[in-house]
Amino acid sequence: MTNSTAAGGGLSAPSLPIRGEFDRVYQANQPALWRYVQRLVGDGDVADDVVQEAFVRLLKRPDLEGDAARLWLFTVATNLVRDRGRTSARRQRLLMVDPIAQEPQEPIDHAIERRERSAAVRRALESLPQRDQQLLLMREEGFKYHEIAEAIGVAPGSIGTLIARAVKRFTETYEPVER
Amino acid sequence: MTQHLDEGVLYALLDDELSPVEEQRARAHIASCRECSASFQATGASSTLLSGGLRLLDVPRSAKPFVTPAAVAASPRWSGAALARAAALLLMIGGAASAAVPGSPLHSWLEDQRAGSEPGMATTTVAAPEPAPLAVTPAAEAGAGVAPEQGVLRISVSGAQPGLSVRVVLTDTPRGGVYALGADSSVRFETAPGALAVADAGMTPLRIEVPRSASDVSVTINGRRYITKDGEELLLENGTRGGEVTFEVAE
Repeated sequence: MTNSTAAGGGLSAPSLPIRGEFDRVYQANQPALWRYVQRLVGDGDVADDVVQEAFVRLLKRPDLEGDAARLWLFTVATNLVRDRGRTSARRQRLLMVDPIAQEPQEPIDHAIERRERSAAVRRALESLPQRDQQLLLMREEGFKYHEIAEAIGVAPGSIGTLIARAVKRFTETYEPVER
Repeated sequence: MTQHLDEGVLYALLDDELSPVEEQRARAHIASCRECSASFQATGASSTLLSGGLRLLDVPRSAKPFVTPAAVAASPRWSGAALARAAALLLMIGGAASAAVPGSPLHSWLEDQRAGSEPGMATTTVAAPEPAPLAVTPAAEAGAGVAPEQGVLRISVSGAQPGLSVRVVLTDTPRGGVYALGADSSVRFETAPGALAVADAGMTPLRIEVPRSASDVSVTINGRRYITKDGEELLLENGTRGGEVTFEVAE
């Protein structure tokens, strides 16, 4: 893989040796981090910006790599989402013309149904406290319980119970729609 | 009086988070306790419902490369997101129809903004992966998921009738899974670390998801191995390969 940097630099000299590791971390984590943020905020543009900012901040932490970098990125991205104020972002998003995306050969009624079900999931997810949304989405991304515990600041032994309660609340809202 | 398993323990068991001793104890209890067995099944069903629901939130990912901090600083006033939102307002005022027509200048301009092609923005050449496909979950389905164990994923299906339609796809998620489309209540699922067994598949079409991260994969149906993973592709027994493979169970 070839790397190039903007003319004129911009990365401080001490950061340059870690570019190879940074690119590896970027490639390994960017798709999952984008999916996580997009699920959290429901806005691809916001996800673009948050993920970009999280990786910019990672450049200042050359000590982080592997799983530690992954957990740090997700935690930072979550904090960035919180700081931005998700509600205002979504309100702006509602103003946009958002055509129903059809898959190839997918009938329009199926596309509409999929969109309605997607909206039901969004409502169910947003009915949860932000901490519960974070732990469910992090679990979905394959984080171990001790990592989730570290990210949300609770004891690792309580994660199973917290997940059970959060899933129950989610399904109570979402399941009737599915039936 | 029997001490039933806590819901948190059931989730920890489902997520492979118990120690070997705890897991053995929990499985032994479930085997002997009808109530906890039912609770464990319900836990798996809720978890599957959650996973399927969250996949419905996914949209095609924009293929933006990483922008270096210098380029960010040099970017004048608008981020890509701000430009897109401004474009949306223009659309509402000036006519959404024009933007919706492929080939129209406004449409092309919007596409350019979404691709992050603002002039003066230098980028690294970090390649962005292909956009994730939209996951379409039928109105009713049953299924189970499991994470590979040290890269190994074994999926075994039994009781499948000849002609059963099976679609296997590679996914970017960390967990694999088998989903019976149509929620035939007779289909049963059982998981163990790195393994997933499906019984009484019958004629219920199956969708099988294989994480790209798994290195050693096999999908066996009625004792016959149909799918393996060869490098970054799925390999069907007849030599067909790709990121998605569809086939029917043979006689």
